[in-house]
Amino acid sequence: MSTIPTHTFPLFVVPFLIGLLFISVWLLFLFLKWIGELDRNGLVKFGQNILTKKTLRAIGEVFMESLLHRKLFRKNPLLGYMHMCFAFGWFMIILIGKLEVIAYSGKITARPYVAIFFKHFVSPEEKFVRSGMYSFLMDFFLLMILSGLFLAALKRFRSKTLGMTHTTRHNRIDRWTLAFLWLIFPARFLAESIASGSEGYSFLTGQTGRLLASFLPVQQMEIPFWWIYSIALFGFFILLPFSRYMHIPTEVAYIFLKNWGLDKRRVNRGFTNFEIYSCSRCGVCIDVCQLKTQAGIGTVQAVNFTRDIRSGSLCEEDLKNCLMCGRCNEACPVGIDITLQKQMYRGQFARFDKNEFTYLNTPTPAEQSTVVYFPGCMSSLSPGIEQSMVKIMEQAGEDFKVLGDEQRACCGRPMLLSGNTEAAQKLIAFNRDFILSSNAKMLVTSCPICYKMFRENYQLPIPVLHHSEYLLQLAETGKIEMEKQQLRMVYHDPCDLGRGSKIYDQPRQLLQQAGTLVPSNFERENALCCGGSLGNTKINQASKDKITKHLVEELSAPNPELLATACPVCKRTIARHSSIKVMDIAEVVAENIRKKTIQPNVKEEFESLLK
Amino acid sequence: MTNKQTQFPIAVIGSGPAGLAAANTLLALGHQPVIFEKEKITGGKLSRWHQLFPGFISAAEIQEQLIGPLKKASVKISTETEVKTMKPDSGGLEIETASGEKIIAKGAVWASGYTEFDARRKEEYGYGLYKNVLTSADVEEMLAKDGKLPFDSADVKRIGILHCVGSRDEKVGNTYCSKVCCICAVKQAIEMKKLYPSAEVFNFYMDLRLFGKGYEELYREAQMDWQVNFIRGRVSELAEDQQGKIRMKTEDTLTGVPMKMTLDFVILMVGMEGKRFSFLSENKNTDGSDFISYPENFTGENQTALPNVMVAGACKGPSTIVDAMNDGKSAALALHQYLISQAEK
Repeated sequence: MSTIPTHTFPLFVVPFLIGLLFISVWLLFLFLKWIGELDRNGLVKFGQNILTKKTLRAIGEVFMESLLHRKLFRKNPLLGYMHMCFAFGWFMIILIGKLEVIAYSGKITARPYVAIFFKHFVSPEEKFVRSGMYSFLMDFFLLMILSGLFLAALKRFRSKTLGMTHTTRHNRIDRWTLAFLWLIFPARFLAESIASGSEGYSFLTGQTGRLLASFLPVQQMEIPFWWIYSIALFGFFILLPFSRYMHIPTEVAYIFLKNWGLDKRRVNRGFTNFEIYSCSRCGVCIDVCQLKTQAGIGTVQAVNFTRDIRSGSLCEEDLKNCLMCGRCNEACPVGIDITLQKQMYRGQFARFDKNEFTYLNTPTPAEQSTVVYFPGCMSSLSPGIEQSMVKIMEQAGEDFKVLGDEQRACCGRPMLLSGNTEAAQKLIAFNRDFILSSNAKMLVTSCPICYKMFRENYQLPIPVLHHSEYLLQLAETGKIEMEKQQLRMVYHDPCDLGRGSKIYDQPRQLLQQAGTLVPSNFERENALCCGGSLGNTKINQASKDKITKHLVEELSAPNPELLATACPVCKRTIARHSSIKVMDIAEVVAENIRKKTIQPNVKEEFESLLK
Repeated sequence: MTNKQTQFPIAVIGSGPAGLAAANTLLALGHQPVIFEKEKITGGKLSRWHQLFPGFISAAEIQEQLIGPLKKASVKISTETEVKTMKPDSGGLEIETASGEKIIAKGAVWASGYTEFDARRKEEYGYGLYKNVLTSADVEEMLAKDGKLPFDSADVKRIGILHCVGSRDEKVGNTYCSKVCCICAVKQAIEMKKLYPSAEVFNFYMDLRLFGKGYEELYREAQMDWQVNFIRGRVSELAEDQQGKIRMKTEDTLTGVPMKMTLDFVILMVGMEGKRFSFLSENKNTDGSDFISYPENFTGENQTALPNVMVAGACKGPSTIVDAMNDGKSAALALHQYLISQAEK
């Protein structure tokens, strides 16, 4: 057991120490400030859950996501590996470095810089418990980081090699921070190699050290390289809070808050800050955005949004030019819910006039029925869906009531999407009262937009079913039967039903009873937006058309005889550009429904009544 | 002109107003026209119309005037013969029909006409789903056939006429104006008042484009003498109630007031759509429509990619019957001039 001489305080550790102190104080201050901005509900959740299993779960998630980058790995293995190298590799170097110092000195309380500059303090000849293993591991993880660095450089200069068509551009601070970050590990590698001289620590630094010592005056070079290493760390720590790399500490904090159940659905600046600063600006969201890939609109993607918020330059035009389709949410390796963030920020630009919706009188109580069918505004514009639903419910012998024009208002989602929460609340109150007055056991809607709204914002005491769920129930309980046709169909997942409400299987199961489903290139979470979104108030028709035409091409590629979907907006939008017939699932079911034959015992009963 | 060439006829594709007018002109100029008609009957859309605006002249009468001289001269009209493609040939032009038959002609006038906008594409109007929603073309056909509509006069209180269905509508991809629907709607509104004197007739329009001779006067007559109502507003949706009546929603954009109204039946003024033929023109129209594009240079407006094929009528863009007929004549003359210039070489 050896000790590190207490009197050694090499000057080159000073920049590192200043940097470390700065970033620790800064982050502590910032995070505390944001936590202070949480609303009451957030603070309560914070207090309630901090000492529960949820914290352990958060630690697990931090390990899987922040260090190993599991989600990113799934999306793009090379990019995942690159990030894992940096995060996990660095983490392991810190961890093993600390253990190495403990093993060497036998004390836990070694000065913080010792582990960082360990090879300066301890020469390769000094052996301690498992010193070989430590050296090997340190070299191994250093090599891992350096391999990641190689990929990072490749990505920076040739992003296509890593499967990215578009990537983000760095601002000046980002570039400096990146330069320091890239400098840290090569500097450490060289400093350690030189420090090892001809003796060598392990396979990497040892071999390199021997090689360098063979032709260079390494003794004089050691201290300058430790200086470079220390200054690189200093620069990185000082600039980090002002650069995109702020995502590294913030994401960790964000994962904890998320696990503690903080709800961003409430306007909550504190939580929002954690989410916005967790964005690493990796740019994965650019390639999935149809506004970029189809319509060439490149200023509205999630990365641009978080950047604009950080720099305080968010403009209304960009904020409102978004389909709110949620494809970027699905792609985001950090799991930021950009759609909700945008919805919240749109509130800043929403104007609410108290006199709006004054024409909504208190509704007269509804007729009593078991099922209330809410076609929604969009189904009214696509009356075939409503007619089909009525036909099916009649056939199934359901006790139902269709809410007509006078008995319903808009569900409120378009208002909510535009950030006008107050207007949405008025509409919610009107519809809610009416739905409840019918004493119905179940609310059915054929519009995914209404469906998402009912589920998330109405707090209804009765189950809400999308018609794909409801029709499947009817089919499964034998209330309706379908004639299976020789019909090749492609199903298009509507945004608010699929990504928005996670209903993927029910419509498919239903369609399989009427024909054969063939897959397209964009299924389930990966489904494309039809372009008809109600969430975008700024896009022009020509851009919309480009998005729709691309979707129609993709859906038509497997040569189906029918394009089926489960949303009146998608149906109308796709139908405008499709030469293949487009139908809603309700229309498919209604067309293929088998006429019910009266069962013999019922028939006898009926005949006996006639006598 | 060699003897070999003169023996070939001139093909006229389409037997609508433009095609028939072209055939008549060619005949008068000493050519031998042969007409190819895709449908079973001759006359194109004209054969289905009842009375023509603005003078309420019978469509059948006009058709007879156009086709009479051709019959007299025994001009061959091949119905149910669709021309698939045309290409230059040593004799002038090789025409291939859909059934694979090949005909040599010294030139052709292409007058294939327009397609009616399929009103089912405006799903919110429920055409094909609601039995009391008709298109302007349905109304013409019914009136031409029976002189009446299938609605009992005593029951009809309110009639709605919707302008611009499939025209000036980005959402269906047609940004252009179909030109004739406004005046046709005025004419049909008066016809409705004649059929249902006690009913109110409402026309819902975006703009009224009454450019032709006598159009403005007919519009005035509709208001003054027939009490037809004109409301500026695009109808957002139609719904069917249990009696089959149509509930309509719109906004009166002159007063800014949302409106709801129950109508006994509704007429949709469907617009015109074109069809592209790559062998006639490679160019796209500036408005993105599929009509056959032509050199918009004032003097060569009947020309196509093939020098001995001239294009005429509503296949070039929305057109009235009179304009289509004049364009047919113009195409015939342009072709005649071209053939003479070739013969002189």
